[in-house]
Amino acid sequence: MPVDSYTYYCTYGPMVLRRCRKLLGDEQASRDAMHDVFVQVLSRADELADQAPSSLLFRIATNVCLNRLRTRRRRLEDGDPELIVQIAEQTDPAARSAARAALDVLFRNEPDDTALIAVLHLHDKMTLEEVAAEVGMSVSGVRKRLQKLRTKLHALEVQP
Amino acid sequence: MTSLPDWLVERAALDEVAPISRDRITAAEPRELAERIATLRADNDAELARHPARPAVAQIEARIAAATRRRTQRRRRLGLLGVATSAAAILLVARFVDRPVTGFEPSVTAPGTPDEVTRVKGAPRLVAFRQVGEQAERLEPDALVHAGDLIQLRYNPGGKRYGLIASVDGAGVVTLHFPFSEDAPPEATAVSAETTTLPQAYALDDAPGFERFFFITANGPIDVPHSLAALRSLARRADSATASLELPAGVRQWSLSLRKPDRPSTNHESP
Repeated sequence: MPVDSYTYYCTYGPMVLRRCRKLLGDEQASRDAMHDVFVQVLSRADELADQAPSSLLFRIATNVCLNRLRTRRRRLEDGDPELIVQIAEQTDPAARSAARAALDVLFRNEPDDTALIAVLHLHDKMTLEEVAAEVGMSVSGVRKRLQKLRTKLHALEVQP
Repeated sequence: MTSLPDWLVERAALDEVAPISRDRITAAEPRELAERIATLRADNDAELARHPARPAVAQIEARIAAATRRRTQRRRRLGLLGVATSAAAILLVARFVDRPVTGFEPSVTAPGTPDEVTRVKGAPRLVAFRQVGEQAERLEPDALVHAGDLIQLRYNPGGKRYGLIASVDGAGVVTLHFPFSEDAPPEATAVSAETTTLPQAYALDDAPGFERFFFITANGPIDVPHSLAALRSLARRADSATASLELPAGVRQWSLSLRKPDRPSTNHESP
């Protein structure tokens, strides 16, 4: 059954906007990101399965925002991922840029879905089982990705 | 008791909680969950009242349609050329037509630039930005521009509910920028109430003299073909760089002229 764009937007638009705000902080950037999400989703409206779309939109919104954060390298503000804030709090006064640099290194060579998994688990507090269901992987696959990420993070921590 | 994460409350509000998360909902404090859901729903209503869905959906659908057109055109071009298209060839095309391309972000400006997020208050206004490397430079009226410059537009409707954005160049060519189709119905001219960046940027062609952007606004839906006819009529005139459009009563016009190397232009507004 074809998706009605108007109904779809009214139902899920505010949720997507809140998600983008939470990750990006900036209002205009969040609205732009929300539009990007709906362009991506509605471009493939014919392929949308007739099941709960909030999960799909949440994942796409997260990826869109992560891409914006990667490419824009904007300054950290309230609402940025807790993981980044935590790292920032545990480092020196030059912390925030250091944390950002660390995450850049951390994610530079990682597939996009690893970043998504990390955000869902570490920032959104999804259980491993929920992350696995969200991204369509096995729990052990999710655990391996996170373990690999932690190893890289540890390696960054022990660097002089 | 641990508070539920936001994403799970969102899904509960939509009645889309996955089976794997239902235990967390069941274990949640019912009153807190109900209050958070009510807050979300109130926020949904407020958001859709402040930013009505129809203009947003029209823009999204127009972006999808434009992307589809670009893909089709690209396939056609590749088919005709039979070889990989080089960047130089793309630039050559840009010299001859106003070419919509993926938009850049005007809010990214040089460090210290005061209008990082431009909010033009009062009367309806257009602001043009030129992409310079990784940054966007705001273009003042009469700014000098060149063929190939990538221009992005941002509008503030100044309280008007409907708008049409188009440009006229020194070669007499009219290009519609918003809404995104010349046969769009009047309702498609509904604009966002706040400062909004058009999703596409435009590469200027090599038309001589000037590039003049018009922002036509009204409190009611605007007739797109009629407005385009007025623009084309103006484009044929010798004083098209400065003359006003002939528009129905109640329809306001504002224009921003950018100067090509061989000719000055002016910033012109009329009620």
